[in-house]
Amino acid sequence: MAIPEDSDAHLVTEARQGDRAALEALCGRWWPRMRRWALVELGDEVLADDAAQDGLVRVIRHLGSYDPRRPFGSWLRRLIRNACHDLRTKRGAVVAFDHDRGKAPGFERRRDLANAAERARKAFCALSPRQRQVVELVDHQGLSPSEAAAELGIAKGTARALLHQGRSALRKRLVAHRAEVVALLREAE
Amino acid sequence: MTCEHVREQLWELAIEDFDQLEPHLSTCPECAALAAAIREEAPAVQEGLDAFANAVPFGTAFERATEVEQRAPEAASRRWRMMDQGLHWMAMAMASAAAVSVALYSTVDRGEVAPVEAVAPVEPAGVGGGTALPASVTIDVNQPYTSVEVECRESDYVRKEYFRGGVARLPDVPDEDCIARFKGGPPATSTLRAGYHLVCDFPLGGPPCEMAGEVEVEVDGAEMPLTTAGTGCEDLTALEPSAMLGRLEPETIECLEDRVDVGDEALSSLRLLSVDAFSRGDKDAWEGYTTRLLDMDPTDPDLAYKLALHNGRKGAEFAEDTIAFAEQGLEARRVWTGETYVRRVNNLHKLRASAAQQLWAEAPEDAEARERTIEYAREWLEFTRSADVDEDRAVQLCEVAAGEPC
Repeated sequence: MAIPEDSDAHLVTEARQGDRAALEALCGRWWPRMRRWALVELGDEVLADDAAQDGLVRVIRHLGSYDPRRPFGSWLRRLIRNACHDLRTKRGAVVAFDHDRGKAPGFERRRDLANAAERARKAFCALSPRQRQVVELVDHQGLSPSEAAAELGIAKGTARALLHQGRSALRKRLVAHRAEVVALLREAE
Repeated sequence: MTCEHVREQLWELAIEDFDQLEPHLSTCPECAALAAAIREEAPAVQEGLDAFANAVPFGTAFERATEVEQRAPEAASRRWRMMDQGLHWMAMAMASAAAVSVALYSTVDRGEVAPVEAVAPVEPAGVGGGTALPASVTIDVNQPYTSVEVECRESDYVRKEYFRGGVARLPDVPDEDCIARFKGGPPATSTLRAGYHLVCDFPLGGPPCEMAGEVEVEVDGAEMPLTTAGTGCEDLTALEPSAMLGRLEPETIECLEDRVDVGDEALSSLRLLSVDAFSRGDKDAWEGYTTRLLDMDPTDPDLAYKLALHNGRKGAEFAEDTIAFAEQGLEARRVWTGETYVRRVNNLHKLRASAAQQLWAEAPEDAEARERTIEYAREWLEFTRSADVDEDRAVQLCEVAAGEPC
């Protein structure tokens, strides 16, 4: 899902001159990634829905403050982080994802727990925020642990530790429903 | 390599690197099964994240977002025009220099808020000429309000901003009498105009706020530069004013980060980056820089204290971080003296014990978590008694955890 940064600059210029189509094109191409970032930050689908929506409002509102010399994606990610931070502050500590709350609209109603993707996402959301960030950057965005550390402003050793902890916790949850593997592991221990 | 070691590797290693374990998998049946299971299950995470990312159509979200923004179309248009003219947020930055300075410390140092100094009213450029200008609202951090919504009816301007460190900064407030409504606490309203700095202490029977001053164009008698101190970063002292205003240029930030990486005045550079990030309201960057500062200088209890407070406010998910920073602060506590020593050490004990309690609450069957809560609560209690400060909460926590009188 690579997005060419150079064409972002053009769309930003057009959007700032009042071109609604350019604004829509710019936001539209980044929208899935904005939602994904919000989920990684918050680990809660309902809150992430709100944060991504709030982030979109902020893009429209603050596009004028974007410095075109910087990568648009970095600016946008910071904006989403801030939206998540504000939401977290406003609503208190974010609890670990709990699919039984049953209060979400649309998307959650379509939830099918038998679905492997749903189950995997739930396992991912149950990680700590920092683990989610590092695992996403390294295992899904392809960054090295050092690059992830720089991106998150944390020590390289911390990033590696978080990566190992995150992978381990995620994989244990992912294979937990596989009775045959669990049985073999128990026997071995 | 033992089977146990192979299993550990399978939990933590990148899947692409599983191949290097292949020779050992045949000797451990459970490892082969585990490797296969992880390989099969892992792609589902990506699918699950993608499914969420694409669950809400962009068109619907965009319509909602534009509806919100269309509530203040003129303000938005004017704001963008100002940006394009290079005016950016300079006026706002100058106006709120004092407030930013207070915010820098008040947010991370709850309970030790410096009094907000009223800025001497001066004739600000643009005020009265119908130009939109920034304004700010300051409340005591102990007030329950979480945000302020400003409505300027003539200009159809509606804007809600959250308090950060007791300060809400509002860009481009139109030059008319606007209504500021406080959210998150008892109903309260005040009047706000473009370029004003409102200080609100909500006295009983009186108006909730006072206009503390208009846009400040001078600080300490010196005219503020209209640009930041260039994009280089050789002279760290010259960058301090810009950092305090959160106005470091991206190039300057990069330059400072490079200095940090190569160890050239890394501590001073990081301090500037940390101050700048805080002033910009970028808590993530602030936390990152400050954590790195503490990595470099683990003997600085002020940093540990701020990070412990910061993480303590973020809730149970960050309890381990809170405990770690609190312990670091406690280890270096001898730097503090007098009242500061008592207040901060007491706060760190409280943060550490409360964080341990949060972890215990998440795992009630975990004996280790309970023991840790008891241990920290007892240490907190001992301190409250030795320092002759209120011990009620420490006693309560200790007795709840221990199940017997402390």
